[in-house]
Amino acid sequence: MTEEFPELTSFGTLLGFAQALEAAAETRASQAATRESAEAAQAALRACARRHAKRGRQLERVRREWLNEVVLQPITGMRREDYVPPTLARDALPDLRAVVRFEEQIARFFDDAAELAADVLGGLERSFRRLAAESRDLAGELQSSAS
Amino acid sequence: MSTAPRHLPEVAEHYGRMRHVVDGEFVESASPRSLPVFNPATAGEIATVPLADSGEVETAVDAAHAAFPEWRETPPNLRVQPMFRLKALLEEHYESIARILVQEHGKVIDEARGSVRRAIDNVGFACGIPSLMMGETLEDGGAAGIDEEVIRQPLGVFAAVTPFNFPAMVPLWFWPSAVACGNTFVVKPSEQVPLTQARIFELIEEAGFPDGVVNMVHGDREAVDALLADPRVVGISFVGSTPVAEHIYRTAAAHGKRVQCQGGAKNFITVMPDANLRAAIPNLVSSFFGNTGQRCLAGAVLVPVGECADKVIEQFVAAAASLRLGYGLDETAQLGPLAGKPHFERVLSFIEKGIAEGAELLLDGRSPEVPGYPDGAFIGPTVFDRVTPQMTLAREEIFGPVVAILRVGSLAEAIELANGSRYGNASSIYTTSGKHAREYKYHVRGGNIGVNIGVPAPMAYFPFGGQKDSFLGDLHGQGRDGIDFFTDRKVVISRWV
Repeated sequence: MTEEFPELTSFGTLLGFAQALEAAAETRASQAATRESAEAAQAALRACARRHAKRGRQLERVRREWLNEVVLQPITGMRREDYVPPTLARDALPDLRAVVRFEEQIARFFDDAAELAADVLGGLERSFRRLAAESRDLAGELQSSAS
Repeated sequence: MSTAPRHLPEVAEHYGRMRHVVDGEFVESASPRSLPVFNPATAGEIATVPLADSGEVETAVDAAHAAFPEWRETPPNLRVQPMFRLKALLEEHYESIARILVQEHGKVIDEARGSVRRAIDNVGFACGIPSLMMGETLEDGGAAGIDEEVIRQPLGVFAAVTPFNFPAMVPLWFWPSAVACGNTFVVKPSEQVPLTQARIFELIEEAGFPDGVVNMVHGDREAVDALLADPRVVGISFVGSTPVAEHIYRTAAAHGKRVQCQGGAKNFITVMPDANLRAAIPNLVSSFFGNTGQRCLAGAVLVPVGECADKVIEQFVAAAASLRLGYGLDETAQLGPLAGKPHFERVLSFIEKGIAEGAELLLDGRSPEVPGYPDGAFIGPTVFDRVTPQMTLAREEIFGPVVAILRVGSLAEAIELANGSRYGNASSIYTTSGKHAREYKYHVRGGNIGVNIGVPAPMAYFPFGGQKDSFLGDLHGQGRDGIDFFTDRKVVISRWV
């Protein structure tokens, strides 16, 4: 990647951005697991991290296999600044609530990406919607694990 | 001086002197003739390509000819094993191939990745040869007790002469199918962009094709003419401009070869008043400016119909003007340079001609500012309105980011306009009406028709169409047409008494 979170100018950069989000989500969930003391919360965070690692691999396949002339068109309407992960304080580890908030942000990213893809490629739109729904589910599961 | 934005790492700064691939070996050319290869974004030299003389071409054909008998007798299920390995290697090296492609051609990285995907798809298609090459049988087809069958057989040595605009994809439209069918092959890539194919040939060798089955010679017209004249070459596939296609078609046919030649294009894109512009505009922009207009399927003439014209043009120009030019390895760049300075000069001359002939210049892409790349062959999106069918802009292939707008009053006029062109490679219509779409695809004489798709590029399992002066021959590249081109159908009638 030129930048970890590139400006969103094409479906290629959109997918690259999505992969970077997944990597950040995996890292943050893993870090939060080391900070949590409750076993249920730890397990939920580790499961969340594994899920994001798998989603990252799936997105790499989508980026490689679905990128053809149909999806090479420029995109407009999504601003990089609206989706980059919140910066953590130096040496700080995220807590479960921060991971939940980030998960909701990821869901919003994929919702918006699905809207963009809707006019272009149905399969891409479905993938993004599925990822958005799954992120919302993950946020719910993490919250439940804390209570 | 402005600084360049960050970009993905280049695979190498300089790739040295290219080598031919003959009989399973990378061999230095003895030819005294060579050309430098340039990165069109930086204008820096990144390689040297030798220009083979006829003797070197003959050596490559010798190897292919010698390899043919054994390869032809290798069963199809074994012939595809190196093809499967090649597919895996191409997947593994997908990203580095795409980056090399950007360096030598200039297209943006997503376009390069997409074209590598298309190349891989063709290898994947060829992996299915055991099924695709099956013949036909009819019991009692001759008479009672007499069976009739058709078997498909390879013919010998084929060759492909390929263009500069798709260095990874176009050679692989041809040789994987040909070789999987049991033929042997000589590829002559464009001397302007030899690096991508050179890298792919390293993977071809790693995949384990027997020596001599797939060969490559670098060169120019001398090499092409040697391939055309060699009686052992049974067929030629070509993609490039129409004048060269005509030369190759005539010469190869005169030497008794099979020929399939894809020539130039001037693609008309019709936008109906009922089109969904929200979806259409970005797709139109991609059609006209993607690959910097250097696609044989690129939109060239925009034809808004009736009252939608002003609205379509306003939105299209605004979207075109916002495109970001840059080095293709900057992932956020949306438009790369043209593939070389000579072509850059040629495209500029068309813009000058458009102005001189009285077209209205709505968006001027000459001398764009591209931070960090002052010497690059960049031309920004350029749009002319009020073009007439007689103007050069409406008639000749420009192969750059230059759009001619011709306004018409009806769908019938739009169809007549498209059919008036000497070319018939592609044409698209944007509409929400099934009736309009059907009218268009029924009446327009073009080999690839898009309905709400600006780049109607056939997948590997479909033939890549082309009509009128855009195609010479009868069997197209890709798909079953490719299988037909690379095989002979033999009829066997049997009676056992």
